[in-house]
Amino acid sequence: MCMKGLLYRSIVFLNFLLLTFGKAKNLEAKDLRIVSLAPNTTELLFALGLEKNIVGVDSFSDYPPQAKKIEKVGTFSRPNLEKLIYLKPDIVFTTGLEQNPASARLKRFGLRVFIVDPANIEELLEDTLEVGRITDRDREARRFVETMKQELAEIKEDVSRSLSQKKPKVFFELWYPPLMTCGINSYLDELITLAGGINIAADAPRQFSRFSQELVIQRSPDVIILGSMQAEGLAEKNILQRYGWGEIGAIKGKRVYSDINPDILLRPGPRVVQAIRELYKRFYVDGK
Amino acid sequence: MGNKWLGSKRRSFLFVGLLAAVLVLAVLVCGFFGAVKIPARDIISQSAGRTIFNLRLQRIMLAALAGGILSVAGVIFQAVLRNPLADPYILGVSSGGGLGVVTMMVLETFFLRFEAITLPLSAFLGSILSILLVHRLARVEGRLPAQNLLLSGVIVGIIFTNILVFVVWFFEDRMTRGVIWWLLGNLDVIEPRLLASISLIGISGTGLAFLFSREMNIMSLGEEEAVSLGIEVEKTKRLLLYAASLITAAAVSVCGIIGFVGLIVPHALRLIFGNEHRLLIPGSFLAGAAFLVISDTFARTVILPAEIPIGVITALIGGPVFIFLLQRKKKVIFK
Repeated sequence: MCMKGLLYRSIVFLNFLLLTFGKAKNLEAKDLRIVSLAPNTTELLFALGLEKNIVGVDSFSDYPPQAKKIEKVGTFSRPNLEKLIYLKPDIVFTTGLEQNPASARLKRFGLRVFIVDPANIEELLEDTLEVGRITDRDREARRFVETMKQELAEIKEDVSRSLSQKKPKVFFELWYPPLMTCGINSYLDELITLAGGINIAADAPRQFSRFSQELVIQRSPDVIILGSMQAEGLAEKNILQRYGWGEIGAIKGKRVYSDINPDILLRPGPRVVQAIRELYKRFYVDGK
Repeated sequence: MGNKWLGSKRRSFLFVGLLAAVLVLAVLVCGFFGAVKIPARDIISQSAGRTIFNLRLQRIMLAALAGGILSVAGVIFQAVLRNPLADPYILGVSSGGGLGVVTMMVLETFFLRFEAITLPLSAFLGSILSILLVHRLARVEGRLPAQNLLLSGVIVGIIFTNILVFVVWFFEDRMTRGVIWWLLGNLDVIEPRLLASISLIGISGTGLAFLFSREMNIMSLGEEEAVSLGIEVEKTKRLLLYAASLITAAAVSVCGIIGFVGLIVPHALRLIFGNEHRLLIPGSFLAGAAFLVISDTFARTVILPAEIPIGVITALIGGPVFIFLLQRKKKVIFK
């Protein structure tokens, strides 16, 4: 009993030491070495002015363009652990789901691993502050979050000013076939809502969900956004050929858009404001 | 051929008639279930209701065709390869189809143009490629021994699947990830014209197989017996295998991979008809069609407004039904 207590206390103490030591190291270190395993985190690190500290990224990290020049440590779902450890990072940023096993293994190798996996804008803002704290970019992170909040408020105002027009019903197509869309509590659903649209698939039970074509025709969205990267323009033509889709408002009114870069829409990162702006433009400005 | 359970031949033919009735009933009833409730008068009047109803009917027709085709292909493969585990995908057709789709997608991102028909067409070509490859590899001195076919089918399947995995990994992006969704099976009608071509291929393949029912009856007893009874075994075998592979390729190219149908429907009907292929082929077509129509109705409606991958339903409904049949009959399926 006594031994156990002692052991426990020494672990706590060790942790305390490690934490203070770690923090102290951070505060001094200009040469902090960071690996980012998700494109949205890479974008965030760049936005916080940490581009010189990133020593490795996953193969999806391609924005801003300078990110392409950074050493790749394997693909998104399968980071190469050997290469990663060889780079001797002080901090590794991973993301949830597919990378959970990798995160666990990296931790076992004694690396400082942080999971950045924002599911919505609120979490994105929180994670931005958190990343700032970890990387000694507190001030930049806070400033960045303030700017984002301000811009989000501006969009909100624009949207409420546009509400003299009817709120458009929106369908976001991720893939076809099978027809996939974004459902309840998804990041995309939030973007659509903030941009002043109504996601017709908001009742789909999963973030990425197969969706009934019958319902798309019945609910007849005013706007269709294609996020599937199936060669722009041709995807629009594709939709016209589908049986029954001619009945849909968006197709009658020629409001099928495939010209928004899906990366901006699908990555919860610093370009979120741009994403909402792009959507807003399709919902209210182009529709007139 | 022995079918003691049903007794006379007439009763067996009555049973095929019954299956046809079940299919018609399934189509009629399932037409009224869907994500959207359509009042009867909306179906008649020119309105969105009618369009949605037509869309649903197309999907039901595709489900019926695919179910029928896969079951008949299963019957043929099981008889010709004399292997109870044979299903329509056993000779690597599905992996060929998947690889075809993935390759086309990668090419498309560089220079090709994406059309509605590209995806199924490339799947079809990929499937044909794998069929030819398997037959070529299995051939020994002009013969196609069943063991060789099975082995080369499995090997080609594994190789193609892993090339697919490599391509998806190498070009990891949303495009290639979509392939996984596609592979999980899908009965949305991409193009009405596709529906027409798959029915043409499927029905002629099934018809051809029906004409060779007697040969299949004898061949499932053993190749030597068949030879001694004056059947040109190699020629018949090749013809039937190509027919089964071709109709499977047609199904895969439009629907992706729908597991279980082609395995258990033939077995379930063998429990009833024995090895009488004159009944097995039409019977399997009808039963497979009804089974997939009903399964897809569940897939379309259980978790509204989302849809469940069809393979999940076929396994969940088909598995228990099959176990029940097997327990009740306690009969050796393949003698």
